[in-house]
Amino acid sequence: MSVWTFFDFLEADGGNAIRAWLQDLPQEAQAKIDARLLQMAGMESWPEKWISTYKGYEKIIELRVSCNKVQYRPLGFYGRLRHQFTLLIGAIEKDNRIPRSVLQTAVDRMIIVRADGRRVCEHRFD
Amino acid sequence: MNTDLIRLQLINKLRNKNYRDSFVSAHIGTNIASQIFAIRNRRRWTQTELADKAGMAQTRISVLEDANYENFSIMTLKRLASAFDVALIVRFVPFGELAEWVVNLSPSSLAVPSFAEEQERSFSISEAASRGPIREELESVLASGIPIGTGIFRETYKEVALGGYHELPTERIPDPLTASPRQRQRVVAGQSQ
Repeated sequence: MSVWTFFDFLEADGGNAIRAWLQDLPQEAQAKIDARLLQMAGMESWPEKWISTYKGYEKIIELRVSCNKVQYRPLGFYGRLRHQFTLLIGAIEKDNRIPRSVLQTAVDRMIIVRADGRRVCEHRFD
Repeated sequence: MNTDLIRLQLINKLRNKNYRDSFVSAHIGTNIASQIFAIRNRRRWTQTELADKAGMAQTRISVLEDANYENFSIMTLKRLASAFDVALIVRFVPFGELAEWVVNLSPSSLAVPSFAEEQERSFSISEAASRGPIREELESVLASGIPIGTGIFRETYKEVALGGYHELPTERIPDPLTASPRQRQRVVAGQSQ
């Protein structure tokens, strides 16, 4: 039985921001991220190398997924409820950095989701 | 999570050859890393302690617990299996089996018990049977030909089944290899699930 459930952020018009990002990625990267999320769902806790945070944005958690030397970084936060993780935005890290604007978007979306639970849907793997 | 729905979604996506090859590759790295992490935590070992038992450097264990690492050698896995005192199976499977494993993952399926823990568990089940109404159930499991773990467990089932208990259970008893602590507690208390 899975421990964690993943959710995706929904735009105001209902568009799924995570789904849109994932569908634009190469098949290899999609497979890698899917495999990672499915594995994480069944684990009680996650190894420190699988996730990390950014200074000044400690509530935002990045999933560290590497594929063909590209550093994919789905960003999210723990919540809204226990054993839930909400994916807010997807990014690609370059030179060990993610644009500050991406991190700020993640924070803005986290605030929206915390205020309105209708702005998420359960993550799908198709 | 709705596991049936996720299984269907995943199987649909696996229709793409490039995707499924990549998924297999990704799954190997993620699954091995998570099992090393989960078993080590179950034992409350540090990376250094595991490294010592496996004859490796701590930095190597750190790399092996990174889900992005996929270049495992069978020799390394055998050393880790020996250090954990668990079995290791490397085999080809149909994609349906992979999907089944992935969508039904749980902490207990990752942090598998050592040989010694298995033996303790086997003894507990045997002891529980002496108090509970499970003979018919055990006999039917044996007769079904379904593999029941190792020879030790098979012998335990036989021993219990031949022990002479009479009442029929109303529900299946938990599999000793996969039962949750709560289920085991119920068996020990002589209750069905």
